[in-house]
Amino acid sequence: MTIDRPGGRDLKQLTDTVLKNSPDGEPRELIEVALSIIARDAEKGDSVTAAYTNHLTSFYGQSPPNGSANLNRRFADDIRKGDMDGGERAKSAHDILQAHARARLEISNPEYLDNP
Amino acid sequence: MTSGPGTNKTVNDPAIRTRLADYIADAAGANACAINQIDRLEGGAIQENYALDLDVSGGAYCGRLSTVLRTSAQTGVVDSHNRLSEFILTHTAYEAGVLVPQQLWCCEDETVIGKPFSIMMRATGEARREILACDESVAAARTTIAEQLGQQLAKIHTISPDRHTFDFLTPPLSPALSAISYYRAQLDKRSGAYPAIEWGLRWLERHAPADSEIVLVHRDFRVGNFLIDDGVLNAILDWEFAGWGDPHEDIGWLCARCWRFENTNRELGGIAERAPFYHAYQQSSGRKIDPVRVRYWEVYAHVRWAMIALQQADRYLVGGEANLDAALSGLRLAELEIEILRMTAPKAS
Repeated sequence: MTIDRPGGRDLKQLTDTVLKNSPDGEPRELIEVALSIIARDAEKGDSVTAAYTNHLTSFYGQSPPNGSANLNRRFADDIRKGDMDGGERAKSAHDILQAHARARLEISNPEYLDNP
Repeated sequence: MTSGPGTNKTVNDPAIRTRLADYIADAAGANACAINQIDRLEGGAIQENYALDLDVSGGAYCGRLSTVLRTSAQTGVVDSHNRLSEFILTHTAYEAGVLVPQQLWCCEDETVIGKPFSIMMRATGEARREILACDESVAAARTTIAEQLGQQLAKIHTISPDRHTFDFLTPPLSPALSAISYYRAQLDKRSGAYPAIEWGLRWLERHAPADSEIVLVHRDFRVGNFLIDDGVLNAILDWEFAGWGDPHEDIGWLCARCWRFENTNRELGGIAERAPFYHAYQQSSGRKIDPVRVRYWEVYAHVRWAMIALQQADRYLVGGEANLDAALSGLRLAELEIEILRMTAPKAS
Protein backbone atom coordinates (compact mmCIF):
# COMPACT_ATOMS: atom_id res chain seq x y z
CA MET A 1 0.00 0.00 0.00
CA THR A 2 2.74 2.47 -1.00
CA ILE A 3 3.78 4.77 1.84
CA ASP A 4 0.85 3.89 4.09
CA ARG A 5 1.77 1.94 7.18
CA PRO A 6 0.88 -0.57 8.38
CA GLY A 7 0.71 -2.15 4.93
CA GLY A 8 -1.67 -5.00 4.15
CA ARG A 9 0.68 -7.73 5.39
CA ASP A 10 1.46 -5.94 8.68
CA LEU A 11 -2.20 -5.18 9.22
CA LYS A 12 -3.11 -8.83 8.62
CA GLN A 13 -0.55 -9.92 11.19
CA LEU A 14 -1.86 -7.42 13.75
CA THR A 15 -5.49 -8.39 13.14
CA ASP A 16 -4.61 -12.07 13.59
CA THR A 17 -2.80 -11.24 16.85
CA VAL A 18 -5.73 -9.22 18.13
CA LEU A 19 -8.23 -11.95 17.26
CA LYS A 20 -6.05 -14.63 18.84
CA ASN A 21 -5.34 -12.72 22.07
CA SER A 22 -8.75 -11.28 22.64
CA PRO A 23 -11.39 -12.54 20.21
CA ASP A 24 -14.21 -10.72 22.01
CA GLY A 25 -12.22 -7.79 23.35
CA GLU A 26 -11.73 -5.67 20.23
CA PRO A 27 -14.82 -3.99 18.82
CA ARG A 28 -16.13 -6.03 15.91
CA GLU A 29 -16.34 -2.85 13.85
CA LEU A 30 -12.56 -2.35 13.99
CA ILE A 31 -11.88 -5.94 12.95
CA GLU A 32 -14.22 -5.56 9.98
CA VAL A 33 -12.58 -2.31 8.90
CA ALA A 34 -9.14 -3.94 9.09
CA LEU A 35 -10.23 -7.01 7.11
CA SER A 36 -11.74 -4.79 4.38
CA ILE A 37 -8.51 -2.79 4.07
CA ILE A 38 -6.44 -5.98 3.89
CA ALA A 39 -8.65 -7.29 1.05
CA ARG A 40 -8.54 -4.03 -0.93
CA ASP A 41 -4.78 -3.74 -0.43
CA ALA A 42 -4.27 -7.26 -1.79
CA GLU A 43 -6.34 -6.33 -4.84
CA LYS A 44 -5.08 -2.80 -5.58
CA GLY A 45 -1.93 -2.07 -3.55
CA ASP A 46 0.64 -2.98 -6.21
CA SER A 47 -1.13 -1.06 -8.98
CA VAL A 48 -1.37 2.06 -6.78
CA THR A 49 2.38 1.96 -6.20
CA ALA A 50 3.08 1.32 -9.90
CA ALA A 51 0.88 4.24 -11.02
CA TYR A 52 2.59 6.60 -8.58
CA THR A 53 6.04 5.50 -9.74
CA ASN A 54 4.97 6.06 -13.37
CA HIS A 55 3.75 9.55 -12.54
CA LEU A 56 7.03 10.46 -10.83
CA THR A 57 9.12 8.93 -13.61
CA SER A 58 7.22 10.96 -16.16
CA PHE A 59 7.51 14.11 -14.01
CA TYR A 60 11.29 13.82 -13.71
CA GLY A 61 11.71 12.46 -17.25
CA GLN A 62 13.78 9.48 -16.16
CA SER A 63 13.47 6.05 -14.59
CA PRO A 64 14.36 5.82 -10.93
CA PRO A 65 18.04 4.80 -10.67
CA ASN A 66 17.66 2.95 -7.39
CA GLY A 67 13.98 2.17 -7.19
CA SER A 68 10.75 4.08 -6.56
CA ALA A 69 11.59 4.84 -2.93
CA ASN A 70 14.45 7.09 -4.07
CA LEU A 71 12.16 8.92 -6.47
CA ASN A 72 9.65 9.45 -3.68
CA ARG A 73 12.46 10.80 -1.47
CA ARG A 74 13.67 13.13 -4.22
CA PHE A 75 10.12 14.41 -4.74
CA ALA A 76 9.76 15.11 -1.00
CA ASP A 77 13.16 16.85 -0.85
CA ASP A 78 12.39 19.01 -3.90
CA ILE A 79 9.08 20.10 -2.38
CA ARG A 80 10.81 21.08 0.85
CA LYS A 81 13.49 23.04 -1.05
CA GLY A 82 10.80 25.09 -2.79
CA ASP A 83 11.30 23.64 -6.28
CA MET A 84 7.52 23.13 -6.61
CA ASP A 85 6.45 26.54 -5.31
CA GLY A 86 4.89 27.92 -8.46
CA GLY A 87 4.07 27.63 -12.14
CA GLU A 88 3.39 24.44 -14.08
CA ARG A 89 5.71 22.44 -11.83
CA ALA A 90 3.56 23.26 -8.81
CA LYS A 91 0.41 22.27 -10.66
CA SER A 92 1.90 18.97 -11.87
CA ALA A 93 3.28 18.11 -8.43
CA HIS A 94 -0.05 18.87 -6.81
CA ASP A 95 -1.87 16.70 -9.38
CA ILE A 96 0.48 13.77 -8.71
CA LEU A 97 0.05 14.07 -4.94
CA GLN A 98 -3.71 14.34 -5.23
CA ALA A 99 -3.99 11.33 -7.56
CA HIS A 100 -1.82 9.27 -5.23
CA ALA A 101 -3.78 10.25 -2.11
CA ARG A 102 -7.07 9.43 -3.86
CA ALA A 103 -5.78 6.06 -5.04
CA ARG A 104 -4.65 5.18 -1.50
CA LEU A 105 -8.01 6.28 -0.14
CA GLU A 106 -9.61 3.73 -2.46
CA ILE A 107 -7.83 1.20 -0.26
CA SER A 108 -7.93 2.74 3.22
CA ASN A 109 -11.36 4.41 3.21
CA PRO A 110 -13.17 4.61 -0.16
CA GLU A 111 -16.30 6.04 1.47
CA TYR A 112 -14.37 9.21 2.25
CA LEU A 113 -14.29 10.01 -1.47
CA ASP A 114 -18.11 9.98 -1.56
CA ASN A 115 -18.31 12.76 1.04
CA PRO A 116 -16.93 15.93 -0.58
CA MET B 1 6.30 7.13 19.42
CA THR B 2 7.36 6.64 23.04
CA SER B 3 7.39 3.60 25.27
CA GLY B 4 5.60 3.79 28.58
CA PRO B 5 7.75 2.96 31.58
CA GLY B 6 7.22 0.23 34.12
CA THR B 7 4.98 -2.73 34.28
CA ASN B 8 2.05 -3.62 32.06
CA LYS B 9 0.13 -5.01 35.02
CA THR B 10 -3.18 -3.26 35.50
CA VAL B 11 -4.11 -1.24 38.53
CA ASN B 12 -6.46 -4.10 39.46
CA ASP B 13 -3.48 -6.23 40.48
CA PRO B 14 -3.96 -6.76 44.28
CA ALA B 15 -0.43 -5.67 45.23
CA ILE B 16 -0.65 -2.56 43.05
CA ARG B 17 -4.07 -1.78 44.48
CA THR B 18 -2.69 -1.92 48.03
CA ARG B 19 0.25 0.35 47.18
CA LEU B 20 -2.10 2.76 45.42
CA ALA B 21 -4.44 2.95 48.43
CA ASP B 22 -1.45 3.61 50.71
CA TYR B 23 -0.16 6.33 48.38
CA ILE B 24 -3.54 8.08 48.27
CA ALA B 25 -3.93 7.94 52.06
CA ASP B 26 -0.53 9.55 52.42
CA ALA B 27 -1.08 12.18 49.70
CA ALA B 28 -4.51 13.05 51.13
CA GLY B 29 -3.19 13.32 54.69
CA ALA B 30 -5.73 10.67 55.65
CA ASN B 31 -5.64 7.88 58.22
CA ALA B 32 -6.55 5.31 55.59
CA CYS B 33 -7.96 4.92 52.09
CA ALA B 34 -10.01 2.04 50.70
CA ILE B 35 -10.41 1.56 46.95
CA ASN B 36 -13.97 0.37 46.43
CA GLN B 37 -13.96 0.10 42.64
CA ILE B 38 -11.59 0.48 39.69
CA ASP B 39 -12.96 0.49 36.15
CA ARG B 40 -11.13 1.25 32.90
CA LEU B 41 -12.80 4.16 31.12
CA GLU B 42 -13.42 4.21 27.37
CA GLY B 43 -11.52 6.60 25.11
CA GLY B 44 -8.04 7.95 25.66
CA ALA B 45 -6.05 6.93 22.59
CA ILE B 46 -2.72 7.70 24.22
CA GLN B 47 -3.46 7.71 27.95
CA GLU B 48 -5.29 5.18 30.10
CA ASN B 49 -8.00 6.46 32.42
CA TYR B 50 -9.57 4.54 35.30
CA ALA B 51 -12.63 5.47 37.37
CA LEU B 52 -11.51 5.12 40.97
CA ASP B 53 -14.05 5.12 43.81
CA LEU B 54 -12.44 5.81 47.17
CA ASP B 55 -13.38 5.77 50.83
CA VAL B 56 -11.05 8.16 52.64
CA SER B 57 -10.84 8.15 56.45
CA GLY B 58 -9.67 11.39 58.05
CA GLY B 59 -7.95 14.42 56.55
CA ALA B 60 -9.22 17.14 54.24
CA TYR B 61 -10.75 14.66 51.76
CA CYS B 62 -12.57 12.52 54.35
CA GLY B 63 -15.52 10.64 52.85
CA ARG B 64 -16.38 9.04 49.54
CA LEU B 65 -14.51 10.37 46.53
CA SER B 66 -15.22 9.71 42.86
CA THR B 67 -11.94 10.19 41.04
CA VAL B 68 -10.12 9.35 37.81
CA LEU B 69 -6.61 7.89 37.70
CA ARG B 70 -4.75 8.86 34.53
CA THR B 71 -1.59 7.16 33.35
CA SER B 72 0.32 6.53 30.12
CA ALA B 73 -0.57 3.70 27.75
CA GLN B 74 2.04 1.08 26.86
CA THR B 75 3.25 3.32 24.02
CA GLY B 76 2.42 6.91 23.13
CA VAL B 77 3.35 9.82 20.89
CA VAL B 78 6.34 12.12 21.35
CA ASP B 79 4.34 15.37 21.49
CA SER B 80 2.47 14.29 24.61
CA HIS B 81 3.43 15.78 28.01
CA ASN B 82 4.38 13.59 30.93
CA ARG B 83 1.87 13.28 33.77
CA LEU B 84 3.41 15.98 35.98
CA SER B 85 3.48 18.59 33.20
CA GLU B 86 -0.10 17.81 32.24
CA PHE B 87 -1.11 17.96 35.91
CA ILE B 88 0.45 21.43 36.29
CA LEU B 89 -1.14 22.76 33.10
CA THR B 90 -4.57 21.40 33.98
CA HIS B 91 -4.31 22.84 37.48
CA THR B 92 -3.38 26.23 35.99
CA ALA B 93 -6.47 26.08 33.77
CA TYR B 94 -8.60 25.18 36.80
CA GLU B 95 -7.23 28.22 38.65
CA ALA B 96 -8.08 30.38 35.61
CA GLY B 97 -11.72 29.29 35.90
CA VAL B 98 -11.75 26.84 32.99
CA LEU B 99 -14.16 23.91 33.30
CA VAL B 100 -11.66 21.15 34.10
CA PRO B 101 -11.74 18.44 36.75
CA GLN B 102 -9.99 19.48 39.96
CA GLN B 103 -6.52 17.93 40.03
CA LEU B 104 -5.73 16.14 43.29
CA TRP B 105 -2.35 14.41 43.26
CA CYS B 106 0.41 13.51 40.83
CA CYS B 107 2.74 10.62 41.58
CA GLU B 108 6.03 10.21 39.71
CA ASP B 109 7.18 7.29 41.88
CA GLU B 110 7.10 4.32 39.51
CA THR B 111 7.14 1.81 42.38
CA VAL B 112 3.47 2.55 43.16
CA ILE B 113 1.72 1.31 40.01
CA GLY B 114 4.70 0.86 37.67
CA LYS B 115 4.51 4.25 35.96
CA PRO B 116 3.68 7.87 36.84
CA PHE B 117 0.02 8.79 37.25
CA SER B 118 -2.25 11.59 38.33
CA ILE B 119 -5.57 11.55 40.15
CA MET B 120 -8.35 14.06 39.61
CA MET B 121 -11.94 14.49 40.73
CA ARG B 122 -14.36 12.74 38.35
CA ALA B 123 -16.63 15.09 36.41
CA THR B 124 -19.95 13.71 35.25
CA GLY B 125 -20.96 13.38 31.62
CA GLU B 126 -20.11 11.72 28.32
CA ALA B 127 -17.14 12.61 26.11
CA ARG B 128 -17.73 10.15 23.26
CA ARG B 129 -17.86 12.18 20.08
CA GLU B 130 -20.97 10.35 18.89
CA ILE B 131 -22.99 11.92 21.72
CA LEU B 132 -22.20 15.49 20.76
CA ALA B 133 -21.97 14.97 17.01
CA CYS B 134 -24.83 12.56 16.35
CA ASP B 135 -27.14 12.07 19.33
CA GLU B 136 -30.54 13.70 18.77
CA SER B 137 -30.98 14.24 22.53
CA VAL B 138 -28.38 17.04 22.39
CA ALA B 139 -29.46 18.47 19.01
CA ALA B 140 -31.25 21.43 20.60
CA ALA B 141 -28.30 22.14 22.87
CA ARG B 142 -25.58 22.22 20.22
CA THR B 143 -25.68 25.99 19.66
CA THR B 144 -25.53 26.63 23.41
CA ILE B 145 -22.64 24.20 23.73
CA ALA B 146 -20.87 26.03 20.87
CA GLU B 147 -21.24 29.28 22.85
CA GLN B 148 -19.95 27.62 26.00
CA LEU B 149 -16.96 26.32 24.07
CA GLY B 150 -16.21 29.86 22.87
CA GLN B 151 -16.35 31.17 26.44
CA GLN B 152 -14.17 28.35 27.75
CA LEU B 153 -11.55 28.74 25.04
CA ALA B 154 -11.41 32.47 25.79
CA LYS B 155 -10.66 31.61 29.43
CA ILE B 156 -7.91 29.18 28.42
CA HIS B 157 -6.38 31.91 26.26
CA THR B 158 -6.17 34.31 29.22
CA ILE B 159 -3.21 32.21 30.42
CA SER B 160 -0.17 33.95 28.94
CA PRO B 161 3.62 33.95 29.36
CA ASP B 162 3.34 37.45 30.87
CA ARG B 163 1.72 36.02 33.97
CA HIS B 164 2.61 32.31 33.95
CA THR B 165 5.84 30.40 33.53
CA PHE B 166 6.32 26.67 33.21
CA ASP B 167 9.87 25.37 33.31
CA PHE B 168 9.00 22.72 30.70
CA LEU B 169 7.59 25.22 28.15
CA THR B 170 9.38 27.98 26.23
CA PRO B 171 7.30 30.59 24.38
CA PRO B 172 8.19 30.36 20.66
CA LEU B 173 9.14 33.47 18.65
CA SER B 174 6.94 32.19 15.83
CA PRO B 175 4.57 29.33 16.77
CA ALA B 176 4.06 28.45 13.10
CA LEU B 177 7.74 28.39 12.05
CA SER B 178 8.71 26.61 15.24
CA ALA B 179 6.14 23.86 14.58
CA ILE B 180 7.24 23.50 10.94
CA SER B 181 10.85 23.08 12.01
CA TYR B 182 9.83 20.54 14.65
CA TYR B 183 7.81 18.43 12.19
CA ARG B 184 10.56 18.49 9.55
CA ALA B 185 12.98 17.21 12.17
CA GLN B 186 10.45 14.46 13.01
CA LEU B 187 10.18 13.51 9.32
CA ASP B 188 13.96 13.42 8.98
CA LYS B 189 14.12 10.72 11.65
CA ARG B 190 11.88 8.41 9.59
CA SER B 191 13.07 5.99 6.94
CA GLY B 192 10.29 6.85 4.48
CA ALA B 193 9.55 10.17 2.76
CA TYR B 194 6.14 11.88 2.81
CA PRO B 195 5.82 14.31 -0.10
CA ALA B 196 2.22 15.39 0.67
CA ILE B 197 3.15 16.28 4.26
CA GLU B 198 6.18 18.12 2.91
CA TRP B 199 3.84 19.96 0.54
CA GLY B 200 1.70 21.05 3.51
CA LEU B 201 4.73 22.12 5.54
CA ARG B 202 6.13 24.13 2.63
CA TRP B 203 2.76 25.88 2.17
CA LEU B 204 2.67 26.64 5.91
CA GLU B 205 6.20 28.05 5.72
CA ARG B 206 5.36 30.31 2.79
CA HIS B 207 2.15 31.58 4.38
CA ALA B 208 3.26 31.80 8.03
CA PRO B 209 1.81 34.78 9.95
CA ALA B 210 4.31 37.58 10.42
CA ASP B 211 3.61 37.75 14.14
CA SER B 212 1.49 36.00 16.73
CA GLU B 213 0.05 36.73 20.12
CA ILE B 214 1.26 33.98 22.47
CA VAL B 215 -1.15 32.31 24.89
CA LEU B 216 -1.70 28.87 26.36
CA VAL B 217 -3.31 26.69 23.70
CA HIS B 218 -5.00 23.40 24.55
CA ARG B 219 -3.93 21.75 21.26
CA ASP B 220 -6.63 19.07 21.36
CA PHE B 221 -9.74 21.22 21.69
CA ARG B 222 -12.28 19.08 19.76
CA VAL B 223 -15.12 16.59 20.10
CA GLY B 224 -14.05 13.64 22.17
CA ASN B 225 -12.45 15.92 24.77
CA PHE B 226 -15.62 17.78 25.75
CA LEU B 227 -17.53 16.22 28.63
CA ILE B 228 -21.26 16.81 28.08
CA ASP B 229 -23.72 16.25 30.90
CA ASP B 230 -27.42 16.55 30.16
CA GLY B 231 -26.82 18.84 27.19
CA VAL B 232 -24.40 21.11 29.03
CA LEU B 233 -20.61 21.37 28.71
CA ASN B 234 -19.20 20.11 31.99
CA ALA B 235 -15.45 19.77 31.43
CA ILE B 236 -12.60 20.17 28.93
CA LEU B 237 -10.42 17.06 29.11
CA ASP B 238 -6.99 15.83 27.96
CA TRP B 239 -4.38 18.56 28.40
CA GLU B 240 -1.45 16.40 27.37
CA PHE B 241 -0.59 18.53 24.30
CA ALA B 242 -1.12 22.02 25.78
CA GLY B 243 1.58 24.63 25.27
CA TRP B 244 2.34 28.19 24.21
CA GLY B 245 1.00 29.11 20.79
CA ASP B 246 -1.19 31.32 18.61
CA PRO B 247 -4.80 31.44 19.86
CA HIS B 248 -6.03 30.75 16.31
CA GLU B 249 -4.36 27.34 16.48
CA ASP B 250 -7.05 26.00 18.82
CA ILE B 251 -9.81 27.45 16.65
CA GLY B 252 -8.28 25.96 13.50
CA TRP B 253 -7.96 22.56 15.19
CA LEU B 254 -11.59 22.63 16.32
CA CYS B 255 -12.90 23.68 12.89
CA ALA B 256 -10.65 21.49 10.73
CA ARG B 257 -12.50 19.12 8.45
CA CYS B 258 -10.75 16.09 10.01
CA TRP B 259 -12.69 16.61 13.26
CA ARG B 260 -16.12 17.04 11.66
CA PHE B 261 -16.34 13.37 10.68
CA GLU B 262 -19.69 12.76 8.95
CA ASN B 263 -21.07 16.22 9.84
CA THR B 264 -19.01 18.17 7.32
CA ASN B 265 -21.56 21.01 7.10
CA ARG B 266 -21.28 21.73 10.83
CA GLU B 267 -17.97 23.52 10.54
CA LEU B 268 -17.41 23.85 14.28
CA GLY B 269 -16.00 20.37 14.77
CA GLY B 270 -19.15 18.63 13.54
CA ILE B 271 -21.09 20.27 16.38
CA ALA B 272 -22.58 23.51 15.07
CA GLU B 273 -22.02 26.48 12.79
CA ARG B 274 -18.98 28.62 13.52
CA ALA B 275 -20.96 31.80 14.24
CA PRO B 276 -22.19 31.20 17.82
CA PHE B 277 -18.73 30.00 18.86
CA TYR B 278 -16.95 32.93 17.18
CA HIS B 279 -19.36 35.42 18.73
CA ALA B 280 -19.00 33.98 22.25
CA TYR B 281 -15.21 33.73 21.95
CA GLN B 282 -14.85 37.31 20.72
CA GLN B 283 -17.21 38.66 23.38
CA SER B 284 -15.43 36.80 26.18
CA SER B 285 -11.85 37.38 25.06
CA GLY B 286 -12.09 40.82 23.51
CA ARG B 287 -9.95 39.33 20.73
CA LYS B 288 -11.07 39.50 17.08
CA ILE B 289 -10.90 36.19 15.25
CA ASP B 290 -9.04 36.48 11.93
CA PRO B 291 -10.64 34.03 9.43
CA VAL B 292 -7.49 33.97 7.29
CA ARG B 293 -5.46 32.87 10.30
CA VAL B 294 -8.07 30.28 11.27
CA ARG B 295 -7.84 28.82 7.77
CA TYR B 296 -4.03 28.76 8.03
CA TRP B 297 -4.27 26.80 11.28
CA GLU B 298 -6.83 24.43 9.72
CA VAL B 299 -4.21 23.49 7.11
CA TYR B 300 -1.75 23.08 9.97
CA ALA B 301 -4.27 20.89 11.83
CA HIS B 302 -4.32 18.38 8.97
CA VAL B 303 -0.52 18.36 8.76
CA ARG B 304 -0.28 17.85 12.51
CA TRP B 305 -2.89 15.07 12.45
CA ALA B 306 -0.94 13.41 9.63
CA MET B 307 2.20 13.47 11.79
CA ILE B 308 0.25 11.99 14.71
CA ALA B 309 -1.15 9.31 12.37
CA LEU B 310 2.41 8.24 11.54
CA GLN B 311 3.20 7.99 15.24
CA GLN B 312 0.00 6.07 15.95
CA ALA B 313 1.02 3.46 13.36
CA ASP B 314 4.48 3.27 14.97
CA ARG B 315 2.90 2.10 18.21
CA TYR B 316 2.44 -1.27 16.54
CA LEU B 317 5.17 -1.19 13.88
CA VAL B 318 7.92 0.02 16.23
CA GLY B 319 6.53 -0.40 19.73
CA GLY B 320 4.84 -3.75 19.14
CA GLU B 321 1.60 -2.68 20.85
CA ALA B 322 -1.23 -4.84 19.46
CA ASN B 323 -3.53 -1.83 19.23
CA LEU B 324 -5.76 -2.06 16.16
CA ASP B 325 -7.41 1.30 16.81
CA ALA B 326 -4.04 3.10 16.77
CA ALA B 327 -2.90 1.17 13.68
CA LEU B 328 -6.06 2.14 11.81
CA SER B 329 -5.48 5.77 12.84
CA GLY B 330 -2.19 5.46 10.99
CA LEU B 331 -4.13 4.57 7.87
CA ARG B 332 -6.01 7.87 7.96
CA LEU B 333 -2.97 9.49 6.36
CA ALA B 334 -4.46 9.64 2.84
CA GLU B 335 -7.63 11.41 4.15
CA LEU B 336 -5.46 14.03 5.78
CA GLU B 337 -3.36 14.46 2.67
CA ILE B 338 -6.51 15.01 0.60
CA GLU B 339 -7.52 17.86 2.92
CA ILE B 340 -4.02 19.39 2.94
CA LEU B 341 -3.96 19.32 -0.87
CA ARG B 342 -7.54 20.61 -1.21
CA MET B 343 -6.75 23.64 0.92
CA THR B 344 -3.39 24.44 -0.70
CA ALA B 345 -4.02 23.93 -4.43
CA PRO B 346 -1.80 26.18 -6.58
CA LYS B 347 -3.60 29.11 -8.15
CA ALA B 348 -4.33 28.70 -11.88
CA SER B 349 -1.83 30.73 -13.92
